[in-house]
Amino acid sequence: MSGVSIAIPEFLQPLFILKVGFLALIVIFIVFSIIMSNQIATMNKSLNQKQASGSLHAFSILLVLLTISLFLIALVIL
Amino acid sequence: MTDIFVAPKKNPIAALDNKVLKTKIPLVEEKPAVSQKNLIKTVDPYSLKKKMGLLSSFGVRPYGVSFGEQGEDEEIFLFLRRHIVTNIPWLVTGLFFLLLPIFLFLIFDSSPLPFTTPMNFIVIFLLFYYLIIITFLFINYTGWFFNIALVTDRRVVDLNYSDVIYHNMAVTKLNLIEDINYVQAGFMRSFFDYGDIFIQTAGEKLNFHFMAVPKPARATEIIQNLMGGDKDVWS
Repeated sequence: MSGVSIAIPEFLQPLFILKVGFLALIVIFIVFSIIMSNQIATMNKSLNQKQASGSLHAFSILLVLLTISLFLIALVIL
Repeated sequence: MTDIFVAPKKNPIAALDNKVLKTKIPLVEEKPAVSQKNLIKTVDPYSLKKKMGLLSSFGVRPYGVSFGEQGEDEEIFLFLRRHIVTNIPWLVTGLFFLLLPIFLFLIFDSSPLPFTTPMNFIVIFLLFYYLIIITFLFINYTGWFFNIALVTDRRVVDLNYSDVIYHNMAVTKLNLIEDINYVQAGFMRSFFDYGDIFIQTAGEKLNFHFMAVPKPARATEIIQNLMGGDKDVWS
């Protein structure tokens, strides 16, 4: 007598849950880095330091772009 | 008939050169000698403004620094930030987590993992991991960078920024300051010359604490001088 095999839907597959969870984590990180960038822009208005303020804001924007890039790469690869 | 005397022919250019050579022309414009003491007096101390860079933590009359509510003729006399040494703990933590994947790789390379992970997952996870570490370092740096105290010729400004979502600015006028003192205790603080400055203001007003700032004795002296109306911060 052969056993009955039950097909598990894709959204319940552990690997799929892992993928979605990981992508959600990156999205949360994108939001966080955007908030951080805005805060740095606000702080630059409070304290303007000629030699440094611009580079800090530029770096925070770079972090946002890197996070978005990572999300896109993860979307393609995973 | 032979000539008894023949006058030599005059070369006008040679004559001119000779005249020039004989004339004493000073090569450098002579100036009266200036003694070392007078030289020090002639240097304007206010032209020695210090440029504040990405790692500066102490500046007297800093150059290129301004704050949002600064008045047009208001001048910053003192710029304080936590001593650079206070950043060592989070730098060490960051370095540890930066190197952690390498150690893990070396450990698990010899003994195979009990589970199989797709390679693409590992790559994306590692990229995400390093992005988090870089962000951790950046947040700590900005936390240090934007936590500053400024003393102008009119007031004391305390700018606080922490955990990305919190920032505040506290201001008090110099004439409202009642007492100022500093504490410098411990080996590290004595060795690197940093300490805490406490400023008490009149009545119910808030007090200011500038923690782990460099040269606290000098900073206190400058604030006291400014309270007394003495703007000669160089002496």
